Amino acid sequence: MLPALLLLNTEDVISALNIFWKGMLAIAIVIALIICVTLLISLADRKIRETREAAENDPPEDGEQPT
Amino acid sequence: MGFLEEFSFLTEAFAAVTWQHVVMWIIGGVLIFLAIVKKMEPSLLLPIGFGAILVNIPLSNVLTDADTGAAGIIQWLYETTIETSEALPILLFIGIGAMIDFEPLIRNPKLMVLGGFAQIGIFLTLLFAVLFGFPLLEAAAVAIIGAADGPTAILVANVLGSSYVGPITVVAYSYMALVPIIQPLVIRVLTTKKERRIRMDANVGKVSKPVKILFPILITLIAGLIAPKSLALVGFLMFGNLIRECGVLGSLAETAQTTLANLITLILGITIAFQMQAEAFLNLQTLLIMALGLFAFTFDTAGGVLCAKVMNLFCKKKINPMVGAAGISAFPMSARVVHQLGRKEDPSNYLLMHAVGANVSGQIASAIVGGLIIGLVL
Repeated sequence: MLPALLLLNTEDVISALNIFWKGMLAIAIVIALIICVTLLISLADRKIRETREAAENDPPEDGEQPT
Repeated sequence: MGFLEEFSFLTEAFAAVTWQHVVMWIIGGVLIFLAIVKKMEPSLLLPIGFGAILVNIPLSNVLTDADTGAAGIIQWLYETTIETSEALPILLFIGIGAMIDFEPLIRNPKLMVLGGFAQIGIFLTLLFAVLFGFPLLEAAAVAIIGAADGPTAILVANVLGSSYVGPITVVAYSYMALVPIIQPLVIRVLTTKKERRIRMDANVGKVSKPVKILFPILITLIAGLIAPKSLALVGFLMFGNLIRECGVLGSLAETAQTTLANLITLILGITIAFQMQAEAFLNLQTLLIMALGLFAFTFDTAGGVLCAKVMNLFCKKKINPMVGAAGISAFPMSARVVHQLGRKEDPSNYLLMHAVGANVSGQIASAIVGGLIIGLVL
């Protein structure tokens, strides 16, 4: 293994470093998108639920009061 | 003399046995011992261990038949279900997806950051493997052990055409079984007692069914469009989850979680043993792969823990850094380990849901990184 260490393939090392930063950047982008999308659908869902609940809880208008 | 010659076929296999075969039988025996006695990933290590014995019996017909030249059953299984199609690891993801509840992650999406950063061990291991003399493709295959996810490791190593699929699989599953030993050590080194006692909000509130259904579909779209090479894994993971969450496929979800996952695990273990033939397994590189695997798991854990500590510098609501360690995938063992560690520090501190959130995010992130590695290396 020592000879392998000494005969380091610099081209592969540079490629590995490139894969390192590109990979970490790519996963960061994917994660940022997933977080945004998750927050958006959760927010939209909450708004829809709140609107529905508000509509259900709203007292009927005066004109519709039973006599 | 004539009598002995007449029955020489009975001793042909004995004569063909080499010391390497015997070593592989011992390794197979050790794997079976670990599976049965130590209960280390028994569903995988037992079939792999037995398979290692099977494929190292010379002149047998489980590999290429010496007389007819036809592919034996284990060779056929390997060539058909792993080498040419990667079908087994991908199909296993349906079962895994059906087992996962993404609710803790949807409730607290920032846990996804931990899952992403806990993949740093993969990239660091890639760099170190290259420094240790592995060619780039082999280094990438070895590094994927850090995904802490068996099917991903098998798939990526196979797609990259690695000649170390066997050692990589065995090392990946062995270290996954050793998560309860590796992770607490790393966590204790990197955190203070005060940090380990941090309490996190319960994050109550219900995630509605439409959100749970939309989540796997949207993740598939995002992963597929940004990292298309990860789509086979992420897509099947999310398909399994969609079956679980849709609410109209109860029996299919049940089947995917149990029967399908068990059946594939059973066949996958014995099939992967094809790569455990003595000539391919017994070399210095296998030892090096074991060392690099440990390195990958250690740095994945450290990455998650340190990421949580950095997030605590900016976030109002503190994250217990131990939760970051669960971002390494190794689902669900890692989450369980973190929860137990938390309770050891403070018996009234319940970290399980947060740890599960980080853990499932690690599952998604590791599959995506697997695809990214393939895309970047090939």
